[in-house]
Amino acid sequence: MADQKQTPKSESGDLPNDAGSYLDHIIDLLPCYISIQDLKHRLLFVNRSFRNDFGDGIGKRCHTVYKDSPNICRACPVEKTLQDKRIHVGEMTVQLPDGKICQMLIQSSPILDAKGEVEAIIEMGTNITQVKKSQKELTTLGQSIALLSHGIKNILEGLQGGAYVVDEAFKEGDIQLAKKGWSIVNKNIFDITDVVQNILYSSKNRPLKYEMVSPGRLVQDAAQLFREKAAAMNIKLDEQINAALPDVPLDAASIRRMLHNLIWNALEACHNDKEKKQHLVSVNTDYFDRNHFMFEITDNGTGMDEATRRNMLEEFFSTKGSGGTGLGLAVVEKVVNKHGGRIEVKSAPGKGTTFKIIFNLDFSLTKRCKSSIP
Amino acid sequence: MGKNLKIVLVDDNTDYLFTMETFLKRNGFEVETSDDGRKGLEVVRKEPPDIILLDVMMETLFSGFELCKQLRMDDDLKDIPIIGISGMVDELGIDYKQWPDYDYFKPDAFLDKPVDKQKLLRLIPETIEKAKKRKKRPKWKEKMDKEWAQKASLSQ
Repeated sequence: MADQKQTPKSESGDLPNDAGSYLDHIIDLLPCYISIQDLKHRLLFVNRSFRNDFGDGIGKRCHTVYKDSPNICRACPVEKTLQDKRIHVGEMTVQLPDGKICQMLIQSSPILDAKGEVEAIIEMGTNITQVKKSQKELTTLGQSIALLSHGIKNILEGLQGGAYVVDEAFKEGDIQLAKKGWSIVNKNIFDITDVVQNILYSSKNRPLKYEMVSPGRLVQDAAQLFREKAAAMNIKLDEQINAALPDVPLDAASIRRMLHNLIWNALEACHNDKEKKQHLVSVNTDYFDRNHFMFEITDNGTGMDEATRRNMLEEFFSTKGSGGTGLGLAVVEKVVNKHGGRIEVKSAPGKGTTFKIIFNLDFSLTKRCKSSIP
Repeated sequence: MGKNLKIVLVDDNTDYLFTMETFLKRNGFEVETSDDGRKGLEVVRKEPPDIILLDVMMETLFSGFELCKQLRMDDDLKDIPIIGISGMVDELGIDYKQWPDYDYFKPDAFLDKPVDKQKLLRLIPETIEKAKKRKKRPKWKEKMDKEWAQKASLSQ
């Protein structure tokens, strides 16, 4: 028989005499929460991971420790195991002591006595928050690809339909018809260019290239790009720039894309509004407060109800029917987050919308943001 | 082919309405258009067409799906063939399956955008024939449809 005081040699298959503490050690090392509970959900044993995140909890009921709740969790797998003596799996949302909410996969297994009755339950909890986040991202990606594809198909229809009209016009020598067809083709060329640029922007994960730029200059350039288009849509486009604003560190290309998307959304909102006779889109930049400056885009278009406004930035979301892809706003959000800024939206159905994009004026803060961005 | 057949086009994209109307008129159809579901319903009621081309993903207050359902619940309009047009054809089945009797309420045929115009020209007479063979509703279900239609029009 092996010397019982020998150091464990796992290769030989021999277990040491202090196998109990060896196993305890392994259980403590497991990167998941292990507990053993009695028939009333009271904790009899917890491993180190559990102790580290939820405290000792011995003698307490598991739902008071996991969720600070006096009640057994709904669909509790431990409860099911108690009923039918089988292994059960469930998902739970729990709150860690630091306040963070996390998604857990809980598995429960019975410990049976000699008579085959449940004596205790082993519960194993694994933190699957990251997995759920990836799942949600995939679902959102799936939805957003569908929405994007829908928008692109509509643009392709516009290009083909417009080209057909131009061909017919050539056959008949009808210049007016040709002009109409060509304007449809042009509009859709603009749209598809926009979509492709937004896709390219979204797919790149390049770090921001900060340079000192004048916010006023960015607004002027962005408005200039849209002047003709706005005039063709019969929408007044103006800009208000506070000349006293200093140059600020921004990734100019990203901010240009952001302004482009917001102005385009504002023009479309006006175009879709059939109620008002006169439409106006205003692009402004000014101080927000002592420590912040802002870009502000206002329109008197269709406006949004509360539900739309809330949903708008949460995922790819578009109410533009045939025209929308939801990508424009997703890109805006990405740019703002990367710069450490925030978005405020005010809107009312039938009245119009104002987007305020607020950035720090504190350059040292901005530089800190820069160092943390991959 | 296509002589004297009347088509109503319903789509919230006015450029598409123009190009599709141009195409269909040059192929011998009479065309009326509407960029809104509710107005489209009125256009259809005023003078029922031989077939309707309907954007099922239209996101006006009265969605394309809803318009299709309203048409099927209306005694005078339920037999009109409908081709559902969309840039999202694959997803359509899911939405319709949420309704009871979705086989009855969905369009008779589907066509994706960008619309294959030659395919559309073949699909129009085929769909008109197919709609004639659409199963009739039992009386008790027709009664239920009328009650839903009434509730729907009262809530608007």
